[in-house]
Amino acid sequence: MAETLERSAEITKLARLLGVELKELVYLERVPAPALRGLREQVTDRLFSGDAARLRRVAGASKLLPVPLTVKIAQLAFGPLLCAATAGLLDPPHAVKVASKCPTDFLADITINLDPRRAPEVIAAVPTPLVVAVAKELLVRDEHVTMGRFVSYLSTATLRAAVAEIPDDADILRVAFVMEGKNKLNELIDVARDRLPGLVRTAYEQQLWAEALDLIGHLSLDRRAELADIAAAEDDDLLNGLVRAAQELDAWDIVLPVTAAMSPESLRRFAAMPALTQPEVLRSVIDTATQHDLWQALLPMVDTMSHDDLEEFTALLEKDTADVVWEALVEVRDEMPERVRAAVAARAKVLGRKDVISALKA
Amino acid sequence: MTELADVIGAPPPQEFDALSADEREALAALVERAAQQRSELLDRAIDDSLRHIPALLRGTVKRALGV
Repeated sequence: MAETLERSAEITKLARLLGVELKELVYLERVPAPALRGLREQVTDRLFSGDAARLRRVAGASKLLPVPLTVKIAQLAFGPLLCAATAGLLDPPHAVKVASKCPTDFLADITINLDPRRAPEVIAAVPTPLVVAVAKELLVRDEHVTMGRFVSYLSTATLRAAVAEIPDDADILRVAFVMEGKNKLNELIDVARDRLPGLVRTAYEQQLWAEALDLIGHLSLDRRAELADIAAAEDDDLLNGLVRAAQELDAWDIVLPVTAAMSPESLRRFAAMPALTQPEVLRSVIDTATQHDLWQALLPMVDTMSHDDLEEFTALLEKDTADVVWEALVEVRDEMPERVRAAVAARAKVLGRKDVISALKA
Repeated sequence: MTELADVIGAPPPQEFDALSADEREALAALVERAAQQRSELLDRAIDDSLRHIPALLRGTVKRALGV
């Protein structure tokens, strides 16, 4: 699910780096996103190393000139591509002095071309107001890919200030989705805590479930629980939308652990959603629980099902249900609530699965 | 045929083995072209920049740039 969109983001970045149209790289859609990112870093290193000595001299020469003249030359002679290539070679204080005198739109152009790996000290030295100004310009240009590259290089304070200037929750979801260094997503959520209800609603209203589910999938358990309870407090349309999205995006491996983190009341509401009782959905849920070892996460939701819904659930266990599913159920027998175990055993009896009945009793 | 590994100076991630030889060659050509264009851009930028530098500083800057 997320792989397709991540791959698209990586191809976009590579196309920019090579100065080509996306259509020239269409064959790269067969390559996984992490490999594309690895190649992009190799290409960046190659492009840099070819001119490294001259770029170092340029960086050194810039210190000989007054800052206003450096800024003028940067804009008129070097342009954003070469400025980006040189940025990481400047002393951070000097780089900040130059950046502070550059027009914001030019800084945004440089940022689009900059590999943050090559300039972490410079990025860290840029004052928050300047980062925020550039972020606002990048937002105007819908440069979510670029913004996502820099999030993990910002301090918490700067990140908080930048997020405060992103009025549209959809933009936060889009930036989070293409973020490099998703381990920083917990921090992003922390600084945007007051935006969580808006993020959930926006995911529904603007069909950004892929982005929202990817975000959720990378969060710590307690943050997932927080988002899960926020979602569960929403109206039925939104919850049914979440179920449909999990089904269409094949994202039950992300949603099931989230349901396990829900409060009992939230879980009851979620389990009662009509979209969840569709046989094809329940089959997907069973398959996902089996493939991803998520039966422990699924059991609490199954336990909240009404008697009729539970019967419908176990009715999906059929004669041709793979042994691996029965084995997975047996494996969690100790965690299985009694009514669920009884329902599974009853179904196993109907199907003549004496082996399962014995194993559940053991 | 230009090998992608030769152009980037190291073997690419092994997933790129799944591309056809033509596709890998096309990619290698794009990388080579980008490197060439960047180098030419830098040549022009250095030349252009010297025109903006006051005569008094130009010699010092040229020495620093190695031109």
